[in-house]
Amino acid sequence: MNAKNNSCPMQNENAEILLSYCARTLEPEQVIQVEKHLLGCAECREWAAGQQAVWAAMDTWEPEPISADFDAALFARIAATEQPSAWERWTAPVRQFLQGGFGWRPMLSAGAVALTLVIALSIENPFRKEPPVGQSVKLEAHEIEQAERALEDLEMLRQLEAPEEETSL
Amino acid sequence: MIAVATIEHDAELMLRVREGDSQSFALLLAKHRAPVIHFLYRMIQNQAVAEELAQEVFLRVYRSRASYEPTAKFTTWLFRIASHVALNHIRDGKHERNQESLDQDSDEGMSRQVASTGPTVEQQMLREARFEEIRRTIQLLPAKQRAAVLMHKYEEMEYAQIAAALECSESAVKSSLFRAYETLRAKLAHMNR
Amino acid sequence: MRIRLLLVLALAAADLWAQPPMAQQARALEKLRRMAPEEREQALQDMPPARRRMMEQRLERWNRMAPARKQRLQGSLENFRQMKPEDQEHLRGLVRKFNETMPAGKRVEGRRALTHLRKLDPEGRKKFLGSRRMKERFSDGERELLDEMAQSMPD
Repeated sequence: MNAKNNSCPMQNENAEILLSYCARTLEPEQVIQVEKHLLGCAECREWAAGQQAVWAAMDTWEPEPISADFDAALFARIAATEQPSAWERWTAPVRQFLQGGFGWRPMLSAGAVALTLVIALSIENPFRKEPPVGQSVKLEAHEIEQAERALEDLEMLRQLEAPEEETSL
Repeated sequence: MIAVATIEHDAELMLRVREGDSQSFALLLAKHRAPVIHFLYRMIQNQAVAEELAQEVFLRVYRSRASYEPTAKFTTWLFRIASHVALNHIRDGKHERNQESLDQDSDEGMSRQVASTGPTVEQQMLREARFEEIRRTIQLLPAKQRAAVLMHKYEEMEYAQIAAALECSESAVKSSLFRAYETLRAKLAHMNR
Repeated sequence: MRIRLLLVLALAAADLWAQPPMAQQARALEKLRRMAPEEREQALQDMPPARRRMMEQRLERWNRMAPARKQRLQGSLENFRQMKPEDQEHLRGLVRKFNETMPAGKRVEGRRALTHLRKLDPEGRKKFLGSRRMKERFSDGERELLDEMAQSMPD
């Protein structure tokens, strides 16, 4: 890095060293060398000052906070992809039965118990709570439109609030 | 291929995931969640979309576990996936449709900055304007240059790593970076002088 | 047992029938929110991509909101729904104009001004909008828009 070199600062590997200097990734000996060069090279000084200003400006760009349920949502997606298809789930006992995995008597008893439980739960508890997030829910086409309308208006109302009130996001 | 005895810790964890150890996947997620989301957020400039894309990235990591081989640093491999996902998202034009929420996110970011330090109205407005200028200038960089700059600046990745993540030569990365920083210097250098 | 089943079904149908549109919307939104991501993806797959993307973003934003803020916005939505349909449409138009005509940086200030304007009586609004700071920050048209929005917004 010669101060008299007319290719200074951007024409060759000098720029790479200068960039690393501004990024503070150089070894101490290299830093001394670069600083010595900067004393005698106005072009490099100018370049480095500009780069350091960019670096400092970029430092002020803080990332957004991450949603608390990010991991839960990811694990739910993984679980969903890992699960066998509905067809495989429903036919698994039959396939096992056909492969001789079960005797027919225990299977018949289990089936009867399951059927009773399903009927009892669906009739005796009609006002049961909404299922937790991530569980199976069906949505009709008109409900999608209703949800879309609600979200659209909530979004509009949100935009009308002062940004200070968004710190609770 | 790198010998198993000398592989880095993350790659070792990924090999355990390959063997069916979900705890190791949780460890990898905990370590790399924030860098990946932050990278995607700065690429796309929309937090909700960035998180959605990050889900896609980690889902791909998990799905690739069976075929995973520690031929490169884990971070490089991870950011190759993240870059792919981000660049595809931008290429498909989905990026443009996020414009509305980009402005909203901008408002949120600004309000947080303002709330945390309690400056005067003039200082608030100045900071808001500066913050907006940084975001807009970076957003104007071509997508691949933007990815290179973000990996270089915020992830402190080496040229070779960035090249591997963006699947190009090291010299192409250097050239991209210098062009990008030139643009940024021309537009942002006045800010901190 | 059969009579009981029929009774339950009849009650559920009556309940659904009697729900005001607002409650149906809230219920639909809650159902959408509770779906597993894969199911949601399937449910929304027939929507045009741009609309779907927008809806997913808004849902994501809604999910991330603090409960207190959700409650506050739900209250605003209920009040908004009680406005006449033409007034609702008018406010939507004003918000569109606000977003389209005001630069992003200025919108933050605009929202702060709106919050303040809503707390004032007509005389106070006039005084605030005519203040030097507001005149320096916003054009005549922008201040008129803010005034109209403040007057049209639900409580």
